[in-house]
Amino acid sequence: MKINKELVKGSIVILILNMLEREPMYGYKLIKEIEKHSGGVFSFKEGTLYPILHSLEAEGMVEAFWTEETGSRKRKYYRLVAKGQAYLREKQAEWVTFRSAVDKVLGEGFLCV
Amino acid sequence: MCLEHNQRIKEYLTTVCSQVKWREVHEPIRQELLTHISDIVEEARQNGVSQAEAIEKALVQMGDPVIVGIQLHKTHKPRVEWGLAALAGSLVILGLLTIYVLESSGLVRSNAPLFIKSFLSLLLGLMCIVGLYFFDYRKIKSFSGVIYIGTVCFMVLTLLFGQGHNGQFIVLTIGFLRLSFFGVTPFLFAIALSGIFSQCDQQQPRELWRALFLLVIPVMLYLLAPSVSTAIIYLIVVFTLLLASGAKRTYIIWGITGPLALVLGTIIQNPYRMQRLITLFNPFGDPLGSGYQQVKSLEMIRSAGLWGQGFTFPARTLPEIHTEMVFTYLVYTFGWLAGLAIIAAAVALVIRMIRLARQVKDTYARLLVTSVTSIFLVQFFWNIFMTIGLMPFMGIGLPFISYSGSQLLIQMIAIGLMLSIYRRKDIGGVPAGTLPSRPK
Repeated sequence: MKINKELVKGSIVILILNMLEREPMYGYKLIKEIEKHSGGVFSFKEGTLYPILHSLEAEGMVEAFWTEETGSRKRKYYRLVAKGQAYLREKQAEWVTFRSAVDKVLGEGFLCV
Repeated sequence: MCLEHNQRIKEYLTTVCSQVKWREVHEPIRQELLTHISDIVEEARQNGVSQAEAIEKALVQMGDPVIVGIQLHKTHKPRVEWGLAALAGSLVILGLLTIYVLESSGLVRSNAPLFIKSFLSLLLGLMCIVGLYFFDYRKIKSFSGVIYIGTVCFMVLTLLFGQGHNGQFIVLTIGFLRLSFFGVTPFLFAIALSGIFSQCDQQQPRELWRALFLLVIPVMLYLLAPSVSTAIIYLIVVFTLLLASGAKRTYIIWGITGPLALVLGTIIQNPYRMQRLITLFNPFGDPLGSGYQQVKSLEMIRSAGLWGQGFTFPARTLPEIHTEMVFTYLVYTFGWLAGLAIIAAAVALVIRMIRLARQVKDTYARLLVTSVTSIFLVQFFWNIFMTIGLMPFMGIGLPFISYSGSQLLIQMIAIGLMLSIYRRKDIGGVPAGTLPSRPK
């Protein structure tokens, strides 16, 4: 099923932070992980991931560091820091409230039909 | 095949970067996106897709380069620390107006046109601020050694060829330029030592001895001048740097007590300075001699009242009202509330600097902001407390306000550096090789 773009946009930050909580990752890996865990529902233009990552870095939610791997490919890794973790918790709680509210309303709707 | 030189990919990256106005982030962005594209291509190749096809697929997957570029531009919009700039700016303007009033009312007489000189320093300072804002401060780091050696050499030159008795005010004349160089040296050493400290490994004893050696040389020169007030500010810079760079406690103690003993030794063996030191604890014990300025200053401040006495400052009651005692003049004229406002502005300025120091991740920038902040803090604190007799009277002016072309210039340069650091604090890191990476 194709998911509305705005919906993806609104939830992408929480997905990114959630992934980074497991381990530091670089952009490509992050996209692969999100795709894998969401069953391919969340797929978007991959270039647009970087503006989001960079603003998360600027806001101090994540920290970036470069590594040089064999084959001289330079990778920029992102790591979740305390501020991002707190933000993630907050967003998760918000999401649970939101989801259960939507579930409730939709559930009622189904009952009425 | 190296994808870096593929025409299609090059075009894509250039289109992205052409949307981002700030050039300094181009290289990291290119690097990051190139790695990503290479990853996609590699995966497609493993699935048996041809190189050209894989690249096309990758670029489609990346999305419209213009949109990506615009979004990146939004995140990397240049940022200005307006609070810092505005606070410093208002103090500078206050200083300039004060000089104007003092000069035009004849309260301060000088052979040199004070207001014009101040104004020219201000213009030069503004140019430095704008220049530094656009300049990547990290480039200064590799010149730390040069700045250190240059400063030391210039101090020696000033000692050899300068004119004047009191160290702080030794003036070196080069053509039409008259420099009182010693006063600005703590700033220069702060800049140089921040670079040196951020590179040296504190765990290596040999490095530390080298650092200690570097710390002591300026103290010797200050004492030769002699310029005790500058030496004290310098020592505070050193102490701040040692503390901020996380040196071991024993080294901090060594790094401070050695030079401090030198300074105290000079004070004690000189009867005039000894007198100063005694006056420090009791300026009122000698109200007509060495305590005169401070006793008089306190008297003027007391008589100011909430709203001040207006432009009625009696001529020839207090020397140095355009330099060290400018705070007394301002409080007398505009009242206690104005004095409080100046103190509030100074405190707000220093707080913003401390906040900046805590925000930056780059060690060099953190040391630089911290050490420069310590200079401002000491100058504000010392100067204001000096006018009410709580600190010994020394050649320490009120930052941005007291008349001194060289001080104003170096202080504005310091602000420019901080704006440069603030602007760049959010782009964490450049590709490995340019700066040491730190894998954890």
